Amino acid sequence: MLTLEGVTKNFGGLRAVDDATFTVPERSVTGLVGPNGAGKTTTFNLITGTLRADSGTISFRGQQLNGMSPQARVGRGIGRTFQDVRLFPELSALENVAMAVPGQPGDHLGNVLARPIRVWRREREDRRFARECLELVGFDLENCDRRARELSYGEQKLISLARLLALRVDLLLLDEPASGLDETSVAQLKSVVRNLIEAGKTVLLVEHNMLLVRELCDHAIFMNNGRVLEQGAPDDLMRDERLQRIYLGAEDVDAPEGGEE
Amino acid sequence: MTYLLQTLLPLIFIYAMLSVSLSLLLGHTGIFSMAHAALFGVGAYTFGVLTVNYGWALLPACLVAMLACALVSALIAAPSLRVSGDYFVVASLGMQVVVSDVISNWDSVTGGPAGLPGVTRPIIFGIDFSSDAGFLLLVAAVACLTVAVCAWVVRSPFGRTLHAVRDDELAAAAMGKRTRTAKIVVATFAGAIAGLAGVLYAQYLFFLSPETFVLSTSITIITMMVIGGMYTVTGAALGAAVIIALPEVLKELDLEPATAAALQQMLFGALIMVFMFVRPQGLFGGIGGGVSRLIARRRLARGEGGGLADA
Repeated sequence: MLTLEGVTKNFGGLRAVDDATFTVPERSVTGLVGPNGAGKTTTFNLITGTLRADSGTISFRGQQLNGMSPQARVGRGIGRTFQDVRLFPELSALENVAMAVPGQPGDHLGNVLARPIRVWRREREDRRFARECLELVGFDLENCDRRARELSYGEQKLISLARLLALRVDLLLLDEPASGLDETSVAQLKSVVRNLIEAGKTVLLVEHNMLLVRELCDHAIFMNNGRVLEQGAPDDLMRDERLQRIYLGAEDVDAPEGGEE
Repeated sequence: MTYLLQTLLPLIFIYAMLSVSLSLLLGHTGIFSMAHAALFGVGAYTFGVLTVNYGWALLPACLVAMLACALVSALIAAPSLRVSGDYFVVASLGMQVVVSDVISNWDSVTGGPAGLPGVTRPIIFGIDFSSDAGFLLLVAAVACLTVAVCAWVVRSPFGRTLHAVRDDELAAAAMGKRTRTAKIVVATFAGAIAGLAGVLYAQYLFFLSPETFVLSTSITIITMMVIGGMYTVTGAALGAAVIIALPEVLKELDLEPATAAALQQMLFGALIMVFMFVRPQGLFGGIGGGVSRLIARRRLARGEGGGLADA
């Protein structure tokens, strides 16, 4: 579904992503793993168009994405969450999700002024859909109307996942979805991801919780220093002693036993 | 009392429109503009010149004036918002200086420093709005309609996108929103409202003077918006009432006119600073719609809200 070929990105003298080549198969969960600074988030930014690759090609469903704006890529069916959540702090939880629903007539000022009734009706539907998305990720609907900045980190994390669901894309990029979540929420996250695959979607995720990667991912890609070192079944990668050394060497603790926080 | 009704109230309504229009930019989208007095002037003078010098009918002149303002505003927005918000401040400041210079120096068209006399008030559907009371009614109606439309716009999905752009533009783009287009559209819309305010102002005074549309008027409008509350439409509108009433209070102090004018500007500057630090949401508005939030909270307290009820 998504293919990167020889993708390279430099920041000044630093080669953040170096000749990365991999494929994300349709209806799969693929994990992008590796120590901090391996280039995982940069790879996400290259796929979503936040950054432009210096060389190499990124194609989605056989179409080249290079040069396409982030908005156009969302239109093609690629969406993401952010490692640092990035909700809209002054919007309510519900509004944060409702804003992402694609194709809203009310997003154009002309419709807002000339067709208020149509805009209002559609907005009611979109809010209902947004509420469903929030419910699906296990967000407490009591807090729907509270501003995002008033909510806890874990709750914000759930909202950002619901926001991505509302975007109705086919390829979902999740940047450390489990970090900061409690056990119940992680369980919820797993079932959401499984339901997504069931519904025909594709997921690519960056995650440090190796237990989760092992449970959830069909396929894992190990990156270090911007390069793709190894790909394969998560279990095989985790048994590889060389990768373990790299992972633990660059990071201090805790990786295989079950995640951070 | 009559003085208050016929002189101050129309002015309050006109400035309320300007303050609300500016709040769409700064409060709701996060674009800081210094050019609102310039847009106000472009509206007033376009209307004045077309009706007085060229004998246009009032309604088409009004529409062209609004269009001209929308265009000028888009002209500042399109190139500068491509880069970053900081450039908009500088570009709008430049536009403010250019416009006030053009108005006071293009003698053959604007009348230059001598001003432009002879603007008339309208007769709409046979109703004569040329009396002070009639005109007050017209201004009040237009201003209330404008405020209502703006309140709807900021609550609409378009308004929500503006808020998203204000809060985190990159995340808004990642959700597929065309953030630059949204900013240019709102600048254009705010420009048209400022133009409409200019048209009403020209009719209010029957006379236009270039001194009205200078930088210090932009600062006055910013003060209104900050004090009233830039995050709510009603707050921004009410701020105009406070700031227009303030000089009347200062009059009671029996100061020399020159001293009073200087004092007023100093006061405005001080007020902006105090409010930005102490009460950024202004006198009349919590961020994000005080009244509707209050209603939502009440409903929640009564067990009706929270979403499940009307899902």
